[in-house]
Amino acid sequence: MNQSFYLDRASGWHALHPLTKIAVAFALSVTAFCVRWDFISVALFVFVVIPFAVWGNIWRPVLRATFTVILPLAVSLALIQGFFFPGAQDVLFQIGPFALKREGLEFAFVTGTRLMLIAGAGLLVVYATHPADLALALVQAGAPYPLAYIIVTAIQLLPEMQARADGILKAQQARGLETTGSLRVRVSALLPLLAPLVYGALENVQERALALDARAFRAPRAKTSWRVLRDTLAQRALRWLLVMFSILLIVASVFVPLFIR
Amino acid sequence: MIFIFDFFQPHHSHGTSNFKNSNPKLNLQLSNLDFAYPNGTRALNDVSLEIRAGSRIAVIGQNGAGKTTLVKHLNGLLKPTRGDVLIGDWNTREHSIAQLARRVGFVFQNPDDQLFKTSVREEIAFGPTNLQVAAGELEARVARALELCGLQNVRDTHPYDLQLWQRRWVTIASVVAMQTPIVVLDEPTTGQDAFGLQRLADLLEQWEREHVTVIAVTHDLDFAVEQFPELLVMAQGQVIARGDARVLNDESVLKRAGLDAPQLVRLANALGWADAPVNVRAFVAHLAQSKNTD
Amino acid sequence: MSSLAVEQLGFQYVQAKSDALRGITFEVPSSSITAIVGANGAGKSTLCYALAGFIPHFFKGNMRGAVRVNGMDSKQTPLAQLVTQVGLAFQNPFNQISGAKLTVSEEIAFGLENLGVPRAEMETRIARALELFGLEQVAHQSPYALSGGQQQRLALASIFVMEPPVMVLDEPTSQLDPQGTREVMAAIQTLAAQGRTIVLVEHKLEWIAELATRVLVLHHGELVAQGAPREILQCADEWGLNETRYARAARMARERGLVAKDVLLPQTLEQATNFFRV
Repeated sequence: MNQSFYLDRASGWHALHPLTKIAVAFALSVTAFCVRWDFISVALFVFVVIPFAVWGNIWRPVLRATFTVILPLAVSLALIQGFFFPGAQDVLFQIGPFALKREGLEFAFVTGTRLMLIAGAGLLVVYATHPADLALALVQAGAPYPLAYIIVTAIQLLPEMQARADGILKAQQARGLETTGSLRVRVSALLPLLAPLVYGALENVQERALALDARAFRAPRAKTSWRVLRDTLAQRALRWLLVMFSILLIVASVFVPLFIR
Repeated sequence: MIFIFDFFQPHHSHGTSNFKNSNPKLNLQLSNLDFAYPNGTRALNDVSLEIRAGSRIAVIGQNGAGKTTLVKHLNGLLKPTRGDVLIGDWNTREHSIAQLARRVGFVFQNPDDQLFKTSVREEIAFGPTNLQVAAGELEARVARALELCGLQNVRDTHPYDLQLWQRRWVTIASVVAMQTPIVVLDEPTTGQDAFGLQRLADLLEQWEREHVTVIAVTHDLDFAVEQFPELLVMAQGQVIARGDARVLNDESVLKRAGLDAPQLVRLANALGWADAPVNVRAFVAHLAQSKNTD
Repeated sequence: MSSLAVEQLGFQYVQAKSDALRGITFEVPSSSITAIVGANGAGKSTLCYALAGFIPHFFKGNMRGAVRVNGMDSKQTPLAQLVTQVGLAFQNPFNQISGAKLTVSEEIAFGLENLGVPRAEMETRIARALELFGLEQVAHQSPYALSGGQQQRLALASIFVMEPPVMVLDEPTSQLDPQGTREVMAAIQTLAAQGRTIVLVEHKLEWIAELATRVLVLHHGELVAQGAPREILQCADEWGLNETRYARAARMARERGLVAKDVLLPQTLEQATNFFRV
């Protein structure tokens, strides 16, 4: 069972400090939002995200996951915005009372590709960063230890939640619960499916908290770390530059109205 | 056991006739069953079995032998990669899990994957309600399940205010109330003390009287040989032996299945007895006999 | 010398109608395996929590009496300090995995990191824990990829590595198959051989009779008997314990006059063989 998104590969991208990777993803996302050019997200995806993913030897999972998330979203965006974008004029073609309009499609394209870029950049970090390294980096950067723990376990526990949700679905079906069919049937199946997930999680929380305390999680002492993080002066400089660049872009976009039409 | 009987007296005529109508005799037929998990792990390998209505079978074997995978095919939780599973005249490929729930009740290992109502009573009523049991009968079924599972005192308690072993009984009760002709139990003895095991034995008796087919996966061999007239021994995705407790006298079966013999079998072997008694009573009878002949 | 001393311990959980424990007094000698038995709901887990300091520091309620861990009063000592004296492991191996680590070695390191143990020292301690619990082969695997028995051994190793002189184990084998149970019991024997003091809650009486030096019986929140396993387990049936088939057969044989009345009921295969051979 794969319990984490992390893919252990020996690559230069993997070896970078977690904060460096996060800074890259952050700068990419900020650029996509602040630059007024409809194709900026696509360009960044093709010329930055994909090459980095190839470098990290994780391009297959990155592309697969990005498109699994984005494609259904893009289709619904295109349909909703294409037909119902407020104030759109330029009709491309008409189906009965509904008209597909150019402005709506453009908006859907820009929004969809932005989401694609953010998803791609995020996955680039998640697939190539050991969760414990991420936690350690966050703590060293001044984040509270429990907060770092929560972030890391949340990332790790997602696949576990998925597995549990599947178990619950099967268990309730085995008690005769219909989960397919009319909307009414589906809605009434929600409570029996969601409630055990929540109850179960709460039930586990106490035991998990107990287990953490048994491992001195809350000991008021300076922690040490089994894993060692490698950081370099060059990376520190790069991170600083990326953050400055992002801040400048944001400030610039406030003063120069850069939003697309 | 006496209280169960008392309880049934007033309902007897009504409950029984109703029961027979809704429960035709269903044989289980598994033919050339193969199953591989999506990751490629082969869990069942050409299993063919017939289980006649009213049988009481314990499925035993090591972890990973395919026990749970096998029983999950009996109510459609898993569909075969190759081969067919027939529940009476229904092929599990052609019916949803929810439909199969009318014929097969399944008690899962982890109660927390299903409990969601705010009282034990409502939780037990959930399954029969899904099966469209009428209100009057529903009440009788819930009352009966509470009684059989020793939950009368906590009928209005929130299931999550109970201990894990009690929550397990709530899931057993919710299957009891569905009154299916076939019941599958996955590790029912986990976490039960002597009182719980006795209650479980009583429930098995009750099901036997009603001709319910019971198939239980269990690690507890001592319990299995005492309570189940038939054992199904699994190893490496196959059924390697089937029969009464005497199959465990065969050293090679135990070895292939990676099992320790039940306590009385080990003791009989240590004492040099030719055949091993299946329960305490038989053991003592054998002992008495050997003392007499001395 | 005793590592744990319990004096007139009582406890009532918040919102509970009655006491979970009442008037419990006993001592646990060093380097021994003390087993706690009792039916479901007898208060075994509550007692474990009190021994490890989780009562009163984690579970709220009304605690009476005292638990002394190597002379320290558990009420006066912070939990983070108590866990270095008494380690606690429990039933569900899955919930004991921190969820923050990707490999078995890292998981074992978690407690040491929290205690601020220097990295160089961690290395030797982790290596020793891996070896002792037979986890070297899986050291680089994900904790979630292990079998139940391996996961429970990992949970024990993760507590062991913090080097508490006393380890309290609350039904560590209840969710395991016979193979997993054997593995964990062997690990417990190893711990005892290392001089650790073990308090073990366990349903499987055959194992208790094999391993334990002493047995305590809890019944409705009270300590009703304590002593050597074979003597104490004579009345196992009265306390709702799953008697061994050896003892059950012996009792029935005794009732039918087939064996002598004055011999103690057997609890292990060896005892039973001798019992019935005579």
